[in-house]
Amino acid sequence: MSKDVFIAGAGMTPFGRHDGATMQDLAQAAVLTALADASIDASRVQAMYNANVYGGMVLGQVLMRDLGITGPALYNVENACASGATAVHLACQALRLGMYDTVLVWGVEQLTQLGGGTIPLQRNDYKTGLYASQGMTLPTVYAMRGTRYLHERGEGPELLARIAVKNRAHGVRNPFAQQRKAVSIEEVLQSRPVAEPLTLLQCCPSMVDGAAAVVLTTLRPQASRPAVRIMGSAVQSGHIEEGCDDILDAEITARTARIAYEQAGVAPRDVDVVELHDAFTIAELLYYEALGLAERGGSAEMLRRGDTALGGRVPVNPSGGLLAKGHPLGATGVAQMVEVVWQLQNRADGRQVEGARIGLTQCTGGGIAGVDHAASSVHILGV
Amino acid sequence: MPKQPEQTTTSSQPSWVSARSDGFGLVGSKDLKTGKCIFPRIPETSPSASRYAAIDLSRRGEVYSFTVIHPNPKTGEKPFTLAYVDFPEGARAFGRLNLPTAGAAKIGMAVDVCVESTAEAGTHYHFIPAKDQM
Repeated sequence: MSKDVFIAGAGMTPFGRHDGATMQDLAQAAVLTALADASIDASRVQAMYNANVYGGMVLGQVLMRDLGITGPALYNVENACASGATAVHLACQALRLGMYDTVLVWGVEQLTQLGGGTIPLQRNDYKTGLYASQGMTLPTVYAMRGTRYLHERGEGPELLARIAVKNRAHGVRNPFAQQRKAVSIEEVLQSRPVAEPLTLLQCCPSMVDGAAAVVLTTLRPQASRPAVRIMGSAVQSGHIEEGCDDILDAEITARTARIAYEQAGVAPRDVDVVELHDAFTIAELLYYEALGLAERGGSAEMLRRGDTALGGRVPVNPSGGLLAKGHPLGATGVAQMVEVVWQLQNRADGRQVEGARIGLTQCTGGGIAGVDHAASSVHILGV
Repeated sequence: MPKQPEQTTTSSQPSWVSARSDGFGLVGSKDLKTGKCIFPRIPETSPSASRYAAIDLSRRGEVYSFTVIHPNPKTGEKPFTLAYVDFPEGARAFGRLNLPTAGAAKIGMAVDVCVESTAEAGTHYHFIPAKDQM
C-alpha cells in the first residue's frame, strides 16, 4: 500500500421504513452528516462512489444533483450485498494510487419500494432463472446451509436462535437499528417458520430503507479523536459451484479475509470488534470460521461461551447486525464501517466495545448465481 | 414410480433434459479441465460450451440438504420442500422434493428425478423419494 487511507468522517440515517422520504433524501442526509463529521466542505470532494442495487441508471448523479455536489467523477457501483464495501474498496484503490486525496462514498437502498418479502433474484442468468422457477430464494440458500450445519455438527435449531437473541439484544442499544426489541430463544423458535430451520426472527427485515456515507482521505485527519485507518481492503468474486461442494466452508469469504489480514498485517486474534453479514442466523456461524475467529467446527462453542456478545472476547455485530439494524443492500457495507469507526473512536454510545483498536467488516452477497456467492468484501480498520 | 413425461419432441426440450429409453432425464455439463460436473447443462449455443461435455445424470440421487418453505400465510399456499440433490456423476441439482403426505425429507435419502413436459406449462423437473424408500 503506497498511501494510508483514513476515514475522516462517517454518518448514516437510521435504518427502517422511511415513509415519504426519497432515496435523494436518505443519501443526502447521510452525505451531509459524513461531511460535517469530517469537517470538510463538499468542494474538497474529488470523486464520488455511489453503491446501490435496485435504484436504476446513474443513480448517484441523481442523488447528489440537488445538493450541488456535481462535477467530479462519480462511479455507480453494484455488487449485490457487497456493493457498499466494494465502493469503499474502489475508492481506496484510487486514493492509494494518488488519483485523488479526498473522496466521498455512500450506499443507499429503499427496499420498501419493492413491497416487502424476499428480494427479487437477478434475471440475467439461465441457471438462476431455472432455479428461481423451482423456488430458489435467498432464504432457501441459507436455510439449506442451516439444515446441513445442524446435521453435520449434531446441533439443534436452538443454536441458530442464539444468534438472533444476541444480535437483537445488541440492536436494542442502537438508535440506528430498525428492530430494537430483545427476544428470547423461545420467541425466536416460535416465530413464523420461513424456510426451515429458519424462522422469521432469524431473517433480516426486508422492509427497510437507509443510507450511510464515509469521507475517505489520504490527508491525516486533524480532529482530536483517533484517526481511523483502512489497514486492509479486499474484494473477491466467487468460483463456479462445481461438483458436490461443501456448502459450509464459505470459501469466498475465507479467501477474501486472508487477503485483508495479510494487507493489514494482523491476525484474526488481533481483531477487537466485527460487523459481519448476518442476513440469516446461520450465516454468522459460518463466518466465525471463515474469518478465522473460530476454528473449523468451533463456531457453536464460540457463540455459547459468549465470546461474540457485547462484553465478550470479540463482540460481533454490536450494532445489531443485519438481523436487527436492517439490510438496505447498497447501504449495508458502508454502514458496517460507520459502526466500526464509531467503535474505534469510542463513540458507540450504549454499545461501546471498550478499548477497541482493530475492527473488521465483512459483506458477502449474491448467493444464488451458481457461484459460492458472487462477491465478498472484507475491510480491516484500525486506530 | 416417477411420472413419465407426455409425448413431446426432443427438439422442443431445454438443453438440460435428454430423452432416454426409460424416459426423460436431467443433463449436466462436465468441466473438461477439472472433471467436475455442474447442473444445468451449459447451453450448447454458449461460447463457453467447448469447455464442457454434456453428461447424463442418473435417475437417482441423494439429498445433500433441504428446507421446508412456509409461504406467507396471506398467500394460502401450503408448505413445500426444496432440496439439493447430489448425483453419482458428481453434480448437484436444486429442485422441489415432492413427498407423500406426512412424509419428511432427510439428508442422505435417495430420490428419483421426474421430468414433466407439456405444451402449456413447458418442461419441469422435481424429485420424489426413491421407489424402494417409499
